[in-house]
Amino acid sequence: MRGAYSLAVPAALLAAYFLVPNSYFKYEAVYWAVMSITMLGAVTLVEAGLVNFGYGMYVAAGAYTAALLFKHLKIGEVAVAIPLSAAVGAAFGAVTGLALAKLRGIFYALSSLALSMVLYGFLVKFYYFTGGSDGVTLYGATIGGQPLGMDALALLTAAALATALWFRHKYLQWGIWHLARGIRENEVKLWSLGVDTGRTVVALSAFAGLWGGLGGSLLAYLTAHVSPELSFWAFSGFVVAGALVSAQASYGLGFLVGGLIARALNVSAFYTNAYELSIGLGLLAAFAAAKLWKRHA
Amino acid sequence: MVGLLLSILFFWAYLSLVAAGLQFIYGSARVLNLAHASFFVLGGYLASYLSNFLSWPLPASVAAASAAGAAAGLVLYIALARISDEVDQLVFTYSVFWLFEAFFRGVFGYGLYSTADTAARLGVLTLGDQRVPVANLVGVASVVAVFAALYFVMSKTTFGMFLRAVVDNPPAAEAFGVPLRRVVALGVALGSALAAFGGSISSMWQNFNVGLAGVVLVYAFAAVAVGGLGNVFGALAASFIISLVRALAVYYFPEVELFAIYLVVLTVLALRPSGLFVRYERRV
Repeated sequence: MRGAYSLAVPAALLAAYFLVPNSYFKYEAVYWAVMSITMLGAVTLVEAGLVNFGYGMYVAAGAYTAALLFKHLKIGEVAVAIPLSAAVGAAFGAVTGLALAKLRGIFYALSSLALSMVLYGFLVKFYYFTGGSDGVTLYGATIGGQPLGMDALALLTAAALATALWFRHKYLQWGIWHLARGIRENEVKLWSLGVDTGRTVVALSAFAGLWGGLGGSLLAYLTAHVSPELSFWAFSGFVVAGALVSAQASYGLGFLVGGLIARALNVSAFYTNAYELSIGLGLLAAFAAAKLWKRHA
Repeated sequence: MVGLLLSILFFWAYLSLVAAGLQFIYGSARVLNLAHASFFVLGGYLASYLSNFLSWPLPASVAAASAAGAAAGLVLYIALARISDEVDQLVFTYSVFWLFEAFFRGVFGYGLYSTADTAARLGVLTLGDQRVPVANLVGVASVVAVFAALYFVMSKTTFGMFLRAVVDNPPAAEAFGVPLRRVVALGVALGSALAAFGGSISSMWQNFNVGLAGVVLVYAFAAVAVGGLGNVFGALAASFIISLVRALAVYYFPEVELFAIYLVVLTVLALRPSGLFVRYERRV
């Protein structure tokens, strides 16, 4: 009954959300869930040993799908925008996965970074289409025609998190999860078993894009703003480092830990007024902890 | 036209130093150093600080900044030597990148640092209808001198021979009596010194501030990906290609600057995944 997590965790999230009156806490609780969904895509790739230093491009693809729908077509309906963002993310993931299918190790890292910087360059420079480095501000989003309030967004995010957890539970029983671990451990052995590892990488990237795109669109509605920074390599590095740490924590629930680490680091970075130091030291500490954890397990 | 050529030349001068430094570090320690551009920025900050606030002469500032870069590189190497996994190294150097940013903000604050005042005192030369600061030409000349020295060291000295052997095959080099750890440590120090030197030289025409490292790293990665990992003189040629594409894009289609550079990178990676100037392919 481990799949019960897929309802228990979102239920706990909603209970905390509606019981704690503090509106800042509510915001952070939803943010954690959104970061966790985003983290799931990076975890999917990291499990195959694919360190995607351009992972932010999937998040940006989802966030900008929502933002550009609003900016150009005045569509703020999340029932349209969020599924579309996830689909665009998945398609983007599949296409980039095709381009990166044969690369491994640092070549994969370098090339994915290059791809995301192409998107970054596009987002920054084509001001009239994308809003340039200012990004796009979203307001007046609706759900089923009604204004999208914070409570509705929390329910929506909890539903997305339940979907992510349920998917993850099923995914751990699929062959592709074992293939992903095989690509990291011993790819040649997979070839000799007749596995087309390139196709596996495409599928993994599509899944990663799906979660990145979904997380990106939720992030866009939560913060009411998107900026090209999502596609800048430093953001990708942050998410991937979190994913590397959280992949050590637990197969099924690790991405929730990753979301927590990422959000905690960002919040502490804002409050200590030493943004860079908090990120650097925090990542080092999380990384060291994950290494020690692995050694004892 | 002269302006276009000069802007290619000046960008090439410092990009080649950063990219060559990255290659030294990758070639010797097998680490793709995400904190590499931080050495470049460190060099720029230190040279500016020494010459502006302590009134050191510029050559002394540049030398001190390069030496500081080498020392920082050695410290990084001592930490990296304990981490064997490629992916772990990426996460580690990524954290170090943020620590450097924290250091820059904590020590130098948010101001813009450069040695532009010193550079302005060197005067201006008129080439055709183009006015060129002498400082830029001095900078380019010193970059040429450094690459000539590098070529000499790499091809004529015992250390250069050892280093080339380590770049090709570390275990084989060690089996033939190359003092592996010492050569690798020197290679990393040399690589980070090159980046710091590039930063201190380009401080004559470039402002240094928090956040620059992340931008410079992207250009250096482009040059390294095009040139092929580990190949120092390949990086020199690739830096030229990147500078050319960048200058043409900035002059004629400003919208496509980063876009164009990375299309070149992706084209090269699609056709020759290990880069243009490698002697053998390393695919996995």
